[in-house]
Amino acid sequence: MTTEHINTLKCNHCNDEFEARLAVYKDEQVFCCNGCKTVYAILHTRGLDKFYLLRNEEESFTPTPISKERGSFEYMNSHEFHDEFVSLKRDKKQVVFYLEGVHCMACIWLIEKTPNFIPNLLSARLNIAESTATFEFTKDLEVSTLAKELTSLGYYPHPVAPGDNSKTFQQREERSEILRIGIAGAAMGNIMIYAVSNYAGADGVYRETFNWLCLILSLPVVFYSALPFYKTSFQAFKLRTVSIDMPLSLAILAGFVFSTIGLFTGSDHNYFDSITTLIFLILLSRYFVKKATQQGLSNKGLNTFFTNSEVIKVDGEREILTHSRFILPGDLIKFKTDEKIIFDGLLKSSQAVIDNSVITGESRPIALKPMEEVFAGSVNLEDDILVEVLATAENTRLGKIVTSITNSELSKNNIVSRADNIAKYFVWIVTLLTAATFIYQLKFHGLNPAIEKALAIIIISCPCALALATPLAYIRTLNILKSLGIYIKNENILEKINSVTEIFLDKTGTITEGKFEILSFQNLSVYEDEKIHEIVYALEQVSTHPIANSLKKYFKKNEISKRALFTNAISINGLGVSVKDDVNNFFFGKLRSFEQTSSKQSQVGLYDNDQLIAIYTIGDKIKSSTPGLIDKLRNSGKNIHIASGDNAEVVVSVANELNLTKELAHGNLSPEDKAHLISQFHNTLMVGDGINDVLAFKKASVSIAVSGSADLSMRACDIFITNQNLKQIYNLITLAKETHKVVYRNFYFSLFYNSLGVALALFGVITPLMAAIFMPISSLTVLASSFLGTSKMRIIEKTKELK
Amino acid sequence: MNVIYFMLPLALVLGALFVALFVWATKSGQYDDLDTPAKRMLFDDDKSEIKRKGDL
Repeated sequence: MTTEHINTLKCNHCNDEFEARLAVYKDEQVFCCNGCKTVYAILHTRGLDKFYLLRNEEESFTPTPISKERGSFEYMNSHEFHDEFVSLKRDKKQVVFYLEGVHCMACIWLIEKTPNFIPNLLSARLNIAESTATFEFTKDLEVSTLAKELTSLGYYPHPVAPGDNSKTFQQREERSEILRIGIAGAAMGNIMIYAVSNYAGADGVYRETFNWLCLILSLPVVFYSALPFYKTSFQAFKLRTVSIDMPLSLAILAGFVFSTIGLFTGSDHNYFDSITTLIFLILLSRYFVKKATQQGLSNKGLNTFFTNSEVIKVDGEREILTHSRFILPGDLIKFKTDEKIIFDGLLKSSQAVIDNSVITGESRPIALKPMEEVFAGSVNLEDDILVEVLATAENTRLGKIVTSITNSELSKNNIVSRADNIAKYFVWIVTLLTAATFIYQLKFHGLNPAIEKALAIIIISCPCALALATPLAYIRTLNILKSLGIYIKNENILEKINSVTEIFLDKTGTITEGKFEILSFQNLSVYEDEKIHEIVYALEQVSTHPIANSLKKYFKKNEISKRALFTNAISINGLGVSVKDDVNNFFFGKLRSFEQTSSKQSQVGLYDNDQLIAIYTIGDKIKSSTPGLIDKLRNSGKNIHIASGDNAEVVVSVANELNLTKELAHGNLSPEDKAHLISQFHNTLMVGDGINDVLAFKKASVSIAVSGSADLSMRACDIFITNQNLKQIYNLITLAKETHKVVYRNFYFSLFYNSLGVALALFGVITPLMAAIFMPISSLTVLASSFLGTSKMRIIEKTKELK
Repeated sequence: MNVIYFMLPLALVLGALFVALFVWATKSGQYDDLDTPAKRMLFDDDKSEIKRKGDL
């Protein structure tokens, strides 16, 4: 699945594929890192091996390997913490955690088993969609102990305050949605009993009673369940636009009013059964679409963005572990190696190496001097550093981007759906036909039949099939996409993808792996490779240069022994490291220009007595799936641009490698520049991963965040892909096109039924019984058409299964 | 045919009862999480297999 030439293994814990030479072994099991090995050992000794059985049944399991070493959670035992996060229920305490790393069925099982081995823990309940778990425990259990246990299982806990306002609002909405569907369903079912009896020929007092019962039962449906339709119609009316809900509301209300009048005036014809079925089916299909789009993208993640429960505050001699919320500007904070910096601040240590790629897109680590600024979102790569806080949370540079995203989120959801667009024409056609029928019937048959026939057209014509055509087609596509690891935030984005012509790809992390790596090693000497690595490893101990760091990481992974060979190695600023004594005369550093074999990547070499004996080429590798994606996109007639914050030369060299012209490779772009670049084009698609792409996401017609993206990008994007393979983007575009076809096919079917219905109405053959038969048939046809999809859709779905 | 005078109200009362139950269940939050329970029910009850923490 990954590149062919690398020998890969699968980690027994996290299922991740990794290079064989990095493997860690225990009990004949193989792991990608020590973190995974530890979790395996814990699970194994507790007899929880079943986790792996359950996990293997999940096809879409995409876990993160456990690598972070995390702390003690002491702050969780404090009073402040208890006041805010722990609720008391009689003698039981309750705390809710957002758990990082929850993926699948096996996670539910494991977390809900915790009361079996954590003493005094009474119960654990996990909500998989939100990744939140509720724990009940007695006062003998310290919250920090619970948090530590969870961390040891591989789930990092973030406390969630009870009664979060936005959550309760969302919950209320969701509950009333379910109530509306349930009530409509119950009423519809009961109405059907009486309506069918009447169609079957019940007469006399039965017939009359049944009709009245239908009216009573349809009341809650028309006046409660259907409320959202009226609301949307009214809003659309206020904005002077047309919504698909307008003909729907019209049909519902007209049908209800005329049926009721008919009942009072002694007419026998009513449409209560058709109206309630219509409302129920549409509510249900819309609910499914909503469910299919929301998953995997809950808003919970952002609260934890600037939050770290383990901040080390330095107060004179003392180091205090505290929650990031209690940090104020002016505080001195210590960040450990590989820790994410969560404040803007000034560097107080003598030096630091920072990975700023999240913000700037620059793939090379940056060395900072004292009093230089560090930004929230960057990562401390080397020794522990001290930072004086300048701004926290939303006041940081990153925080401002976050705020702009949260604000723009509301506006971006106002995309006009295709159904709404088509509704425009339908409303006119139906109005005209209704008017025509009315006049025709009035002229030849009188007023009453005229009203009846006109009504029949409104009710049986467009609404049902039309309102179902899009949601049903979307449900199918969204489910296929989900199985491919693609999550869509707003289903209407699917139709926007079809018009995309300009595709912008971020470089670092999207086209490339986003990591500084050894691309190649050339041995020009008689020594063994291992020997050379050892010498370089020993030399590099004195260097803190970013390139040295990536080399050190590489050696560590390859298990090169770290021998202290030299005692007098010195670092020559900006050039490299040298050692000169009686035995050795080594220099390791930049190549002389005539020795360089590649102008694009950074190259360093080892010199023995001024003789070049080895060359290391270092750079950011292009993902193996990138060229395939670019070829396919280009063949389908899209223009592909690269938009990167990285050095322009590097960007051009990447473009060359991918056979893209220089003009389409844009380098040196700040986050704002990227946004500006995109706003100059129409029908744009932005693919990225970092926070530096977020502003561009806002400007693009469609935005995609790829696997491994920052939390914020996931929030800002329209589509999120968890699959490592970039080719899924092509599948997404194909599927969007196919969905478009299915939606149109559905519309044609409903048009066909409508014309048939209109023809029948014109000849006066339409009765409520016909309507009752017609509606489900047209809906079923649309359902079948959506379910079948197209052959391409089926192929994509199948090939995924084969994989 | 007279049985319908008994059956019909009964059916309606039963229906109303179930709708009331459904409303209560929704309001008390039983449908808040629709994903986890669907998977939770698939696990076997195997408490006896789990070792207590003391065994570590």
